[in-house]
Amino acid sequence: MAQEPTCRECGAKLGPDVAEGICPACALRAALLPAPNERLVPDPTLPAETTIHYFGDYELLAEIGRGGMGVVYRARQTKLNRPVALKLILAGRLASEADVKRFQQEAQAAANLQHPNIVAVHEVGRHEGQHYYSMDLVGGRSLAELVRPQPLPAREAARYLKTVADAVHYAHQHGTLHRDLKPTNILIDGRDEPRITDFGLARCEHFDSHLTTTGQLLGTPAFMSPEQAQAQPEALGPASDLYSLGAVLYYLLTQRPPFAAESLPALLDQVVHEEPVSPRALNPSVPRDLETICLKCLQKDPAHRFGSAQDLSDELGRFCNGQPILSRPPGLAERTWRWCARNRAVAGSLAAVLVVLVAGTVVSTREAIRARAEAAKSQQIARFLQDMLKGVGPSVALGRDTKLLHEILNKTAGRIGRELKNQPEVEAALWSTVGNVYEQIGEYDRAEQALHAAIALKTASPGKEDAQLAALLGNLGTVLERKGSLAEAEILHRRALAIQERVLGPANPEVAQSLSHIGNVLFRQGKFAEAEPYYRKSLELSRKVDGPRSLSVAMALGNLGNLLGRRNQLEESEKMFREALGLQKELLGPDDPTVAKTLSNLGITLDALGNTAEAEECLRESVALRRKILPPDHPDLAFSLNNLGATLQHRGKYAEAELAHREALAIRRRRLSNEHPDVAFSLNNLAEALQAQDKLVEAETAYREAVAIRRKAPGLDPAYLVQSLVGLGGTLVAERKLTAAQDVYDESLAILKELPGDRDKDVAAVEKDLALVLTAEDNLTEAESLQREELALRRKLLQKQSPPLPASVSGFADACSRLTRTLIAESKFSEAESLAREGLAFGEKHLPDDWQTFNARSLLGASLAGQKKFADAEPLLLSGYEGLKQREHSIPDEHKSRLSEVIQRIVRLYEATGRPELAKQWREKMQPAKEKAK
Amino acid sequence: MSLSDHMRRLAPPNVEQFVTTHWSIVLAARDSDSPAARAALEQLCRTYWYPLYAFVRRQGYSPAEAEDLNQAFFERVFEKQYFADVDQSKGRFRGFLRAALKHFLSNDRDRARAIKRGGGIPPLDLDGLTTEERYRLEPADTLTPDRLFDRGWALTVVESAVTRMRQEYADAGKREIYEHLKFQLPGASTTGESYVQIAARLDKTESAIKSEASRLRDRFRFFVRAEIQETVAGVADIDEEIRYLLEVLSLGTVG
Repeated sequence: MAQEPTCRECGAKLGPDVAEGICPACALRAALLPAPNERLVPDPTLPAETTIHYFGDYELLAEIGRGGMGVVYRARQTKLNRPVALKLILAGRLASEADVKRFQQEAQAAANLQHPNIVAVHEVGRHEGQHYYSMDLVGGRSLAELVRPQPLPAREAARYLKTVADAVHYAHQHGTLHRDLKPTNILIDGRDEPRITDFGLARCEHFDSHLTTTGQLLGTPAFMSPEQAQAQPEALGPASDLYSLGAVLYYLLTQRPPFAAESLPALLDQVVHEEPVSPRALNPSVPRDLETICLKCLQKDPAHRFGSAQDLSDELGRFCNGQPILSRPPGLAERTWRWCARNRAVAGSLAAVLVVLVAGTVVSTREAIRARAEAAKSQQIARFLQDMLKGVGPSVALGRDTKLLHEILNKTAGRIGRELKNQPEVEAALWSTVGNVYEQIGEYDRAEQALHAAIALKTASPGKEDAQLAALLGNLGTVLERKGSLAEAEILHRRALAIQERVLGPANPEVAQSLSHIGNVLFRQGKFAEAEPYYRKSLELSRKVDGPRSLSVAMALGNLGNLLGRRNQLEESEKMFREALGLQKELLGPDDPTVAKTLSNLGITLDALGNTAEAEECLRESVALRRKILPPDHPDLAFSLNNLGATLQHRGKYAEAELAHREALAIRRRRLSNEHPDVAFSLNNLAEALQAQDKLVEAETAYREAVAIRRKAPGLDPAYLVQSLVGLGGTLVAERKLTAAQDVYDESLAILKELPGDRDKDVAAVEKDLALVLTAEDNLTEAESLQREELALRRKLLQKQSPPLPASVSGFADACSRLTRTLIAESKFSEAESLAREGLAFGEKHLPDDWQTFNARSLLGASLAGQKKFADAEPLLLSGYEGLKQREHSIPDEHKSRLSEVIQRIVRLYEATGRPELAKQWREKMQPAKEKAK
Repeated sequence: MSLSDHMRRLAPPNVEQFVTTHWSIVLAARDSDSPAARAALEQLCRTYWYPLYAFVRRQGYSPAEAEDLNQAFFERVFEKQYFADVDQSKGRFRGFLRAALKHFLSNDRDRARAIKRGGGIPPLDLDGLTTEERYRLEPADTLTPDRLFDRGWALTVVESAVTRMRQEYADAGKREIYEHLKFQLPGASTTGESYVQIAARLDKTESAIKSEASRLRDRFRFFVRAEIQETVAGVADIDEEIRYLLEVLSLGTVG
């Protein structure tokens, strides 16, 4: 590669993208000199070496400094022949007439200040449009220069600052604020006394000007109070100067201002939102009391600073005299809490990071012998994390934006291995923290990597089968569970449990948690019966060790609620969820992710209970909450969306359901993987919603993808595969692809029959669909035999249930009716008659007011008519029709054609018995019925 | 008359006086529906598409996504969706655009994604390097999006000034002089021929070349300032904006 061009003027490396190979910085700098034809005022930036420059009464001798506001010259006031410092305000600094007026007033007030430690202002004025003021010329260096080689000794710094505070107090009493106290504004004169310059003058121009400070990397804003950084002029007061004094002290002690950032906006954000690193962390020789004084000045809330500059001066005096100071340092926990309070959005996720900070100090006080090592460790972690928090800045901590967090985490991950060599304990602790935070924001791959790293470090050191390792294993298990690696997850949770039971004993909250996790993994694999004892044990244990009103109890209740819901114990499930929800809202507040999860699960149960309206409400709440508190695209949001979609579907709102499923699917594809079992769930649900809207081609595609994923998913209950296959079959039937549908159903039956456990209901459902396909293909013999099998299974199901479930009752009645129709179509009328009698008797007993029962009546009539028993048949056919007609609205869409079938039977009866007039009348009724059936 | 014509005809000596700039036209027309304001805004957006693009890319979007987002963002700007952000911009187009873009990215991202290209307002046809090529040329940096934005802004300012100056010399039939003397511009990375050599080559006296060089530097300062003036509310803000951009650039080399 060609050598990178460098600027001939400033030596900067120029990127390949700069125009004409021109250094943009030098170009801009040159443009600061106004172009010749716009030079309306004497140019104060002209180099002084060429000619002698006069400015009014002043002869300019040399430039001694420049800032955002203007240039300061060493000058000679010719009339009085005295050396002065002359400050010329740059053009444009006083933007409006009001600014000019204010500048003049302030300058006048400053000129009235007579204090040995305040540089006196001699004259304020305007010459040829240029504003200026002149001051005493103070030889010597500024505090900034004084500190450059090394920080000041604490006592010396305190002494200077006490003097400065006295002078500031004097000015405050005269109604003048400085507004821009900083090391470069405090000069040390020949008598080693500090003198403050620019009193009241620095900030007369409109506020925005701090953006223009040139030269120094850290500029003035680094010493500015939060109320100034937020441009709240009404909030400015003496306390703002006190803040700046604290910042100056900080600088004297540490050689850096309290905040440093790569850009001004970031710096201002830090000033407003972050806590400074403690001076002692940067310079351990700083006495604790002086640090306390310094940090008290730097409080964000002006009310928490010293009451006046005098109070500060008194406190510094006490420090210098070796007397006890009156201020108390804020604890680490308090500072952490404050940070969180200001950054609420990220605080939830950051809590984990900060726990390390706090926990570190607790450990160090508990164990005296290891105290020193632990203290070093926790301090290192603390500084490390604080560094990172500094580097990132909370400017992005708005709403649910997690960029800040990502940045912190990525930075940490990048630094851990590099900077913590030979400290496996610390390194493991940090990896663990990072992994857990990644998990919380749904970054499962990164979480997995971090946790693996932590586990590797823990297991590398001998004899470390401890509770920490168990916790790491458990956390990794949870991550793998989220990623869909259920078998691996189960192994990890079981390993964690074994260690915990050995190290912590059986009655321990962590044991309860591992039990829950194992239950979860089993649950996800569809092993509901196996999961239950784990959940129950976990609940029992949590009640014992954490008390009945605890979060762990709520969690266990929630898990059991899921399980019971899945096992159709719906009322009990609802009860558990509601209890869990109550506890969580009470203990965590309404805006917690856990609350969103429980709402989502409660929604499923309510939906299964048929209470779909409440389910919808509940799920919408869950979706809204997760949208509010989670980062966008969080995988958990997909759960709520998925469940909401399902309920919307049950309520017939297919288009809305489609949208919900599409969003859930998109999230899962982005955040999980294309092969994740949850992707298949979304695809399957989406396909159902599409099918319901007759979008058959799309539905088929979605089902096929779901089938493909589920065929390959290890550890997944094959019943899920069957679910997708059956759905696909339904779509294929609707598309009239009957042969393909038959293949799909055949495969489903084959899978189901291989499966252990009671699959009767599923087998019956598939047999029903397959028989319908066979019927459509006119293969009545095979259809009949399948329907007989199906009916037998449904009879068995009914016998096992007491009282029978409504779905089983209706399923049996339906199966009877379908087989009867097949038998009639095969002209097996007497077999049809006996089955129809059974169906009708069953219906009149269990479903006396249901359309199916009247359909059964009509079917019995048809079987009798087939045997030419017309007299018996006629009243049955007619009353069957009447009953069906009255209940027309309750007939589901897919059965609407029953009504026209019933009419057709009556027509045939009248034709067979030679009553063409009646047959004609009835035939006419059929037309509208057929229309409706469509 | 196109706006760039308008720019070229700005009489240099009056530049500090009552000149309407693109941004001041836009500001003045905030509440009305002036075609001139739209044209001015469009001109600005065309010029400053690159910092926007870099900013968006830095947020982690793919090149295609970033282009779409940029396009959608411009459409929003043209619909005047973000004029509320003007108040936070302290009168700068840069500040406005950055605030508006952040606003857009945080609030309207999802809707923006849904906007299909070509719907509604025709897409801007951006000139120059294709966006991604240029982005890749950026030093692989640790700049924050804000800084990357401002740095891209600074580069764009200088580049626009160079382009306009080159055009001016070409229009005046002085392309040769420009090509020989551009190495005398402040911050040039290459040493060109000496004045004597150039004088010999162009058949002019050395002092004539010297004064041409000095004129070139003056014009360059003028164009940089004019370029910046286009994006601020008033002449009084030019210096401040330059200082700010300088600071951004100096931070870039430190970071």
